[in-house]
Amino acid sequence: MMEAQYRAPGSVDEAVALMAGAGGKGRVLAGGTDLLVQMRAGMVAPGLIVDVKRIAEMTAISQIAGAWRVGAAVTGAEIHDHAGLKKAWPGVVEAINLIGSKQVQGRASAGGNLCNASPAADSVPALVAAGAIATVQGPNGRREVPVEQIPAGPGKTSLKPGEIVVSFTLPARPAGSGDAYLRLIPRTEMDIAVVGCGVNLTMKDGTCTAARVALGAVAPTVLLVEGAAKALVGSKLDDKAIEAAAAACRAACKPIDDKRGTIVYRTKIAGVLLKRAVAIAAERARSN
Amino acid sequence: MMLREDRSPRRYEAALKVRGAARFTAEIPVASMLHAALVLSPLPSGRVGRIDAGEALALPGIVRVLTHAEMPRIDRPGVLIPLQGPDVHHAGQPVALVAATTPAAARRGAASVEVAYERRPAILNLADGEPFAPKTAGRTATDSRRGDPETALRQAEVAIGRRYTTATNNHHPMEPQCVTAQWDGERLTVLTTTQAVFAHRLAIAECFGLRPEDVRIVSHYLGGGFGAKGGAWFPHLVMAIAAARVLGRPLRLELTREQMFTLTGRRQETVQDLKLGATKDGRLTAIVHESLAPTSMFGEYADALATVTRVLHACPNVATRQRLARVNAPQPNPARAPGEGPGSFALESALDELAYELDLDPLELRLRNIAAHDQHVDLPWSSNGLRECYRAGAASFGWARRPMRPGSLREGHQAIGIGMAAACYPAYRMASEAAVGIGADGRVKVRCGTQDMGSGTYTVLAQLAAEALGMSYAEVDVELGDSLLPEGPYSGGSMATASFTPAVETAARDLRGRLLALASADAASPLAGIAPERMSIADGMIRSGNRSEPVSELVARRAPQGLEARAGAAPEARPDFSAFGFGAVFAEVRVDSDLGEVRVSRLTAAYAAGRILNPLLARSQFVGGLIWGVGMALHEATVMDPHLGRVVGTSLADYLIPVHADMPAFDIHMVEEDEPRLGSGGVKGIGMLGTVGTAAAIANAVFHATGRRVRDLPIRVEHLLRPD
Amino acid sequence: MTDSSRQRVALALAINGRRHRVTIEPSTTLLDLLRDELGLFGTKKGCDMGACGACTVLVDGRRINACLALAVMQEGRDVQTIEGLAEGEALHPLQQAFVEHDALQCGYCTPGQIMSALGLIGEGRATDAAGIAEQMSGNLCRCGAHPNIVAAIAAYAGA
Repeated sequence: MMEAQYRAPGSVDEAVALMAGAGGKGRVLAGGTDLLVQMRAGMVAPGLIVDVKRIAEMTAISQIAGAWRVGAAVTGAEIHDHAGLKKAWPGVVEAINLIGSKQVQGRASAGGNLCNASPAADSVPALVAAGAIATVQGPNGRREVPVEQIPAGPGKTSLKPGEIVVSFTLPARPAGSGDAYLRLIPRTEMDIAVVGCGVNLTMKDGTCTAARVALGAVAPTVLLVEGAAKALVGSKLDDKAIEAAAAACRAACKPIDDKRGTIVYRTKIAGVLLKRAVAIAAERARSN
Repeated sequence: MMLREDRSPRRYEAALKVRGAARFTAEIPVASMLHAALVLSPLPSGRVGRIDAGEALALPGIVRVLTHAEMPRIDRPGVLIPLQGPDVHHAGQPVALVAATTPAAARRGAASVEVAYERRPAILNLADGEPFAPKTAGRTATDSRRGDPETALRQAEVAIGRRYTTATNNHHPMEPQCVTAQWDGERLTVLTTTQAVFAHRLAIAECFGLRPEDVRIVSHYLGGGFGAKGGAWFPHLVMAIAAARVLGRPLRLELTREQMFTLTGRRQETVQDLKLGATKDGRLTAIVHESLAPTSMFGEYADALATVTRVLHACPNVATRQRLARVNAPQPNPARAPGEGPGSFALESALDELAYELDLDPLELRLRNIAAHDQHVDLPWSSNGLRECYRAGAASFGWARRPMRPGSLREGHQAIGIGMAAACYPAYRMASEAAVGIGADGRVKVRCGTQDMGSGTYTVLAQLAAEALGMSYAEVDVELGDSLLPEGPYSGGSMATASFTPAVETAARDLRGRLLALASADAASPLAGIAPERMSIADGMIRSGNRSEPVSELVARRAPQGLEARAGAAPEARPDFSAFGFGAVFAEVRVDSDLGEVRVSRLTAAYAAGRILNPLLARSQFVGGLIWGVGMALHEATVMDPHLGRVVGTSLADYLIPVHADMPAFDIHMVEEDEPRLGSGGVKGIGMLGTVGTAAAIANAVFHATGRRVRDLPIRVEHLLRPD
Repeated sequence: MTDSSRQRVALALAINGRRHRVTIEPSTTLLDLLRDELGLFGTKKGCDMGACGACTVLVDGRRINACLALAVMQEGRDVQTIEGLAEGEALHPLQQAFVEHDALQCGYCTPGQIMSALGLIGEGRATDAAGIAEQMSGNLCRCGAHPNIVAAIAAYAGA
């Protein structure tokens, strides 16, 4: 086992070059909250650690034409303190602020949460529901990828060798929009989601005109549930529409049994959380 | 009872601890010390073959890799001291120890050792083991019988029979176990996280063929224990000491949190069958309590699951029976309220079920069955404050307003439930010595070779000496946690305080008598010639009438080297009474009807546990015990992979203990008792009592909220899922 | 920095207001730097996996788990540990509140609880007891001092 090398580049280009030079032994360090645990547990032994916290583009939050761009290495605590982002995307901000303890949020980033590719990652269903687009840069340049296409399975991503997630863009959306994220954990705080549900709605004159619904921890990757969105769009979010969306959520679940939750329970709860998240998102949409 | 502030000086070592200045074992440097890391077996059963340490030895900082081939033989029956042979009995068992100049180098070395194993068949599940009767159950008899419970059950007007199960739990004190072993020829100094400096001194001396006086064990501050730093830690302590001897250098072994799942004991899982018989008006006529729990392939340990069953409620016909079965898993051992916690879950859940069979208020059922004496040993109680606990707890909680019917109380999508349970724990004692001295500077010193796990031992030692001498608490210094001190009790079984209290009080009274005699006989004292019985000591002054002298001046003049009195106390060989602490726990829970989430919103508990030395710290102990009950009821389970025999999830992110946000509102009542017959100075233990009955009170409240009777701990959301 | 397999990195940071210059292996965590290199044992090692909060310190005023942070990432930062709170014999008022409320038993989680509480007060999140309990949930305690810890924090924060 080799002692890892450490570099803290000042630009994305430099970081990408370092990763390319490490020949598969490089690991990106944003907050370090997952990487250090994995190193300690002997799951990974990187030859090179690339600290991206000194790259301005990856640690900034900015607004461009109504869209929000969030650096992949911005910490949960910084996101929590950002009043503008919190007002526009309260569900996304709440989800990112459920990653680990408050101490972990002092370091952890949504980029790291996404790249760790846990099916139960809290930030991902909210980002998927938001329609977030990830900006990814690698040896062959930049590309834009919908967030839901990045996780490929537990602990696996679709990123190509040497690619780094640089930022997320949360799209501009019309007035009357709101989002929400809810999850269920066995303990009141400090635990991994048994089920997580993100909902993003746009309402016009009492009718739902756009919707995205995403579920976490009920399948190998976070699910975008198009059937649930379809059930909501065009409705007045009446009981029948919401029940149909809940049914679509239950039907989409392909969970596992583990010590945190059984298949039956996860499936049932997905529907319950959908209903509660829709209610919160709709309330926010009305007041936006 | 009111919390009398004057009786509750603040925790003796609190200022040191809030500064982060209390030095725990791993924080005490030892010159030229090496660091150990362990190589662990991934298999639950097998035999170690070739061990290739070549790559590890080539790494910087690695001094040596020790396996069973290089370690001295240690004869200790019934205990698995690692690295004594090639056989593997559980996953996580150490098979090699890497010694290096830094902890990081040792860790890297351990990760580089290659071990070949011959796999052997394993028994991984309790149901697959062969039941047998253990020699004892904790400190009690394995089986018991009074009257004719089988006939009584058959003839009972109302009878129920139910099966209850509880999960494997781990202790997880916040401070990981650590040892630094230092040999000097045939003398040995061991800095370690131990709940028993003297018991470990003797056992270690026996293992290495040393005289006990040549072994010194030091444990000044303990970051929790709960049973995990007693016998459970001992085998690994001995392994590290043996390794240090082979290495010829001081060695430190500090366990990782992951290793604390397999190398420091565990609360055994249980399967318990409870049968109750009663009359229609709610008098218990029969109790049968049979249980099965796992033990390891090499050791035998059974929690005392039936202690509470045998004595808590009046019943003429009682049989209890415990069996163990061997599995390829780590050795279980006592954890806070070791049998009484899981055992009372079964008994007090069954009582609640019986109450519903009888359509009788669960508290009223218990009030009709208060035991007038200890029927198990047929002796009178030293005292039994259970009725007062029921009264005080119920009144404060508002039990009388509870509707009997389950599912009666709601708020929004929350179902609210209220449940209760009773508790008791034996008042154990062991022999203890203590010394109380005073120096020429007027400072009092108490010396006692016991430990403080966070239970308040420093504080009560200082209080006892101050009160018995007539000095102020701030003038007392305490030394504990060192086997060079007078022999003190171990910290376990809720017995440390009851054991050292009479020794400290006797020594302090003896010292007081000597001080007064000295003053009386000293021509230079203003008190010269006054009979000692006409003098008093208060606030550091000896007084008689209008004459007085500071104790410090007398000592400086007449005993400039200081004075010390030493005393011992031992438990009664054959007491003519039975001593228990009692309690009643009342729980309110809120259950999300759609999600099945359970939150405990209120816990009220009343305890009658003898003389309370420090109400502030006693309350902290009771609350801590109750929180362990919350964990047992709702959170804690060490899950074993049924095919691999390994722990699933070995971090504190996987093993859930209650966190701040899980805390209910606590309401604690202490029913103080006068216990002149107890040789402990009236003290009964309190550390365990809070964990007894609590899980049952919560499960009973969940039933009251939802109508669902959960008989398997921890209660999971799946248990409460409503069918669609 | 060299490209040998045993790179060592020079690091300058402030700990409790004092400047430190150290040379360390890049994989050294902030926790190991504090305890093993600098002898600041007040910051505790309860799990070394970011799951217990015993190693909570403040970096530029924000609370983090020192076991989950590489020391090299703290270049130029201001680290506050439990040793920096008391002024000589006088305890910090929050430390005093812990003593008064008996907000500790074994004391092993205590420095982390206190640093975390200072962090949360600094975040402006100590509004009421329930909020404090939620925000403190990353700090485990096994003795069961929780209600007294929250009471001590609330008393100090005036919540």
